[in-house]
Amino acid sequence: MSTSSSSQTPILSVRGITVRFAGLTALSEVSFDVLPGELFAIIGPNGAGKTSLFNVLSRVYRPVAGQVSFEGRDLLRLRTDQIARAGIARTFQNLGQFPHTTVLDYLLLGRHSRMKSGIFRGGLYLGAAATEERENRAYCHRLLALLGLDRFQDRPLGSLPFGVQKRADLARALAAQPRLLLLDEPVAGMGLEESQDLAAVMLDIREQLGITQILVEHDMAMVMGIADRVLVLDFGRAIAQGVPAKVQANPEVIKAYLGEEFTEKTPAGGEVRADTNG
Amino acid sequence: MTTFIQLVFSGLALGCDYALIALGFTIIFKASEVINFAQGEFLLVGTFVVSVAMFTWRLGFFPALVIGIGVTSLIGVLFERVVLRRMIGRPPFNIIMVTIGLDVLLLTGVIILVGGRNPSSPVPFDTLSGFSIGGVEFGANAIASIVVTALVCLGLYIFLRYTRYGLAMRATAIDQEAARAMGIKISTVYALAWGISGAIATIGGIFLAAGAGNPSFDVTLGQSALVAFPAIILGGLDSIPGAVVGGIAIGLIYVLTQGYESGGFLGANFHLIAPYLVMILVLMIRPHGLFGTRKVERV
Amino acid sequence: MSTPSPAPAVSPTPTVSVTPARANWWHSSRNRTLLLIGILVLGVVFLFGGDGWVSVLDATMVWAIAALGLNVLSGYAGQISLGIAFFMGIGAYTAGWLGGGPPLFPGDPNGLGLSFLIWLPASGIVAALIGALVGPTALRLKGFYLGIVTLALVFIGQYLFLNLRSVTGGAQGRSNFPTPGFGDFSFASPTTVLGVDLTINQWYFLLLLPLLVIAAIFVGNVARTRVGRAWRAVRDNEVAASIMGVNLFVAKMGAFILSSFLAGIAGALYASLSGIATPGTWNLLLSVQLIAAILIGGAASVWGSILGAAFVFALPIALDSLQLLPQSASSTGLSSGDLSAILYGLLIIVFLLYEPAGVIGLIYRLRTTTQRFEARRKGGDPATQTMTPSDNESQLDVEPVDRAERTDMPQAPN
Repeated sequence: MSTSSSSQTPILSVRGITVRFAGLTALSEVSFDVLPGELFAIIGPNGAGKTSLFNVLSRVYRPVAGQVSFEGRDLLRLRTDQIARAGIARTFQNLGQFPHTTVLDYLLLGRHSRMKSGIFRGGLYLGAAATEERENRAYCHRLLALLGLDRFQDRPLGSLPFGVQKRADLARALAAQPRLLLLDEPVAGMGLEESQDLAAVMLDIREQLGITQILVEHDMAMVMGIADRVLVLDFGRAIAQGVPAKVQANPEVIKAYLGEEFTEKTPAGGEVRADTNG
Repeated sequence: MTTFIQLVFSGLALGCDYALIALGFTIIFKASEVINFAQGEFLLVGTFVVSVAMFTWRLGFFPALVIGIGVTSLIGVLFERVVLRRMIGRPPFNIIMVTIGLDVLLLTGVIILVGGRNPSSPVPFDTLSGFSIGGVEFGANAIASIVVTALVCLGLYIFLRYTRYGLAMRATAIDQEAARAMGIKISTVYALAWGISGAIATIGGIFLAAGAGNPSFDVTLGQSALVAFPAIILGGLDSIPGAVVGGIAIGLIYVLTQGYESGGFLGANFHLIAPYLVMILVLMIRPHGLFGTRKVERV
Repeated sequence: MSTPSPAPAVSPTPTVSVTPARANWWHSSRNRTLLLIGILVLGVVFLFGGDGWVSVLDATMVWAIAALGLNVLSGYAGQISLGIAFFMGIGAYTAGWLGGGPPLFPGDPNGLGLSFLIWLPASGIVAALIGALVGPTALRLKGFYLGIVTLALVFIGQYLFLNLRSVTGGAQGRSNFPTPGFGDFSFASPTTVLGVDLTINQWYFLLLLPLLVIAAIFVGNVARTRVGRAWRAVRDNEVAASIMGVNLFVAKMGAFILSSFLAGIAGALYASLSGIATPGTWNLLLSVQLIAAILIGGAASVWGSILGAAFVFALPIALDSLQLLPQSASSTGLSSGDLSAILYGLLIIVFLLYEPAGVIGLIYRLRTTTQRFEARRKGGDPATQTMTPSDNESQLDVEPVDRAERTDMPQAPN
């Protein structure tokens, strides 16, 4: 299933992306390709620029140089809100932005760019608008059921355990029916069991939905276990990329990332088990 | 030319009143990032108390002033302690609204106590006294407001630069965590900011009430103080020199438009909106104002 | 395009019975019950309450439409506005210009005398157009800055209303505002129809109630569907909302325009009902009163808008009718208007401190508590029985954007 043949046309192509804030270089000439259906992981120590890279891909940060093309389209010509319509969805590293939104509404919010009705039609709630709302609700109900979240559908996000919120956030991103899914530390702060559950969901998404996924993660064991290919960032530079086994063997990676990771405390309970033997 | 000089002088005097009001906003904003929509009513309350103390209780001006400042500062400190402290971390919307609630309370309180009569302007001189040079009138209240504003600015400068608490206030404005680490009690700083702001509001209110020779004032005094908003936007929300410069500029704009608008194509009362038009222009071109720091755009 | 493709098969056989989707405001049994109770109470007052109380209801319904408008912008979309009075004024003078008859007093400007079916919608549409004109400039600003710019709008409005004498009547105001009617029939004259005698106020009531119900259902429907979800997302976190595909400008402009439209309609009805308006009618106090109404009633809630309007505008009249207090504010002492102002000033502060969702939030909290209690008595699992405020009653009180972003680790709630 893993697609490492380089003859395939990449779904996402990043070339020479450089991001600077007030003289500080967050990303320096980062380039990589992601192939359709791939589970691509980006790893690196804290502050390596992983989330900055995601923020470039979702058009929150403006790079000073470089190109990004998604399915042949120039991504940097789109506004933040057009990214979703273009087929890219993203989960959030930090939750708690929408504590009063119910899980069902959160999923429907995820479908915003797939729906059409505006104020007038929504307010009258006749014909097409009503049909659209009903169908999309039904769709979200099914998605919730598939992810085992249906019993939480009317609960506000803020009232749910952290792991359930993370899962709801993933469901929300999936609700947009993206062709590329950006997962920003999906298991950070989760226990081992929850992490494994979520890893299984990610594999299901790849196998059964064929959605391309890019994963930013701290949990090395998980990344190496499920990713097709890995990109390693260090101080904003791409220092290695390739299949997990090859990357783990790269001496520069061991020095830059793994070496530091051993001394570094990871933020949330989840211990880092970096395996250097690989 | 005489008219022009007269208008500039009057504008300068009114601008000094606005500068005092603007300073009140800015001091609170710098310390606690709260925009106090009730600041105008602080003016009203302070001035009203001084007026009552002078003309009902027959106290001298200075004892009355002390009482007025005391009452206004107390209201500010209490509001900060009882209400605002519980609202830390809430969205700006809620914090602004809670100060609007206070505004309604204070205004209505004064309306009830005033009961339809207009209180006398509490100044220690005849509001109409003054002298004239070459046809230009120099009213006592105008001169006093310029002199006192200069003194207040000097006092604030010395306080902020050389006293322990002043330094504490500045440190808190820059970095709360660092200030706390230096052993500065943030709650004292907040109380101090609200207290000083109340005191300055009272002084500004007295001058604004007496205006260009008004023997009495009414309850719309607080609303006329809202012109300080354009002043602080012009100067930059978090800048003390900005508040003074912005206040004086808005005072000049106000009086000059008022002086030259009559019979013009602009119609009646253009001077009431001229400061706001300037403000909108500033917001479009330079949202952080003349002296403000850029980050406050994010508020 | 709007038809979603089949659900993804993450697990091969989904075994869910899809619950019927209830997005329509009208389909909520709670809303229907409340609406029926409301109409019943109003009906009793209408028939047996006497003309004075009917006139109070009329005014309250007009305020409720304005409060709904403000709630769209501030409650749902989270954009501070002090400018609602300006848009009410625009609506009123549009109605006066299009629908007004010959001058009633010297100085009244002439009106075009058009039909009610033209001037009422037009008052909303003109206000909405001006909203669309002002919006792009104002909505570039956030929070406090937006508050001050909308404050400036009120002052600019008063200046315009003072100077555009040929429409507004200038400083002395305008008194020939149109009264609604069809052909020979007017809502503003006591008439006997089908053998029933009705007063002017009762006729107005029969006009205003359906208008309020339509406005409430419309806003309720918007709030529960795509646009409403986008508004709340923008209110809670702009960056996250736009990443999820919400166009911030479109969302804010939509709220601004609908809000202006409703304010315009309310302004026209207000002027028609009271028969006179001066530039000073559309002042800052009016905006502040409407803010008080939505904060006390409940931000981001249709029922909250109506309850809040009733509280802020009907309360002084109710206090007056009890005749415990001196009637006018000109004499020393406590008038009913002052007392209610003190009350709502105090209530703004108390609600923001303890229940940012207003009276509606309080009602939910009470219901949740009773349900928990009952659940415990029955030995059920309280967690699954807990009722929570539904989407459109969600609170304004959320973490600000930058704060949420600054936190490195998400905090597990509870």
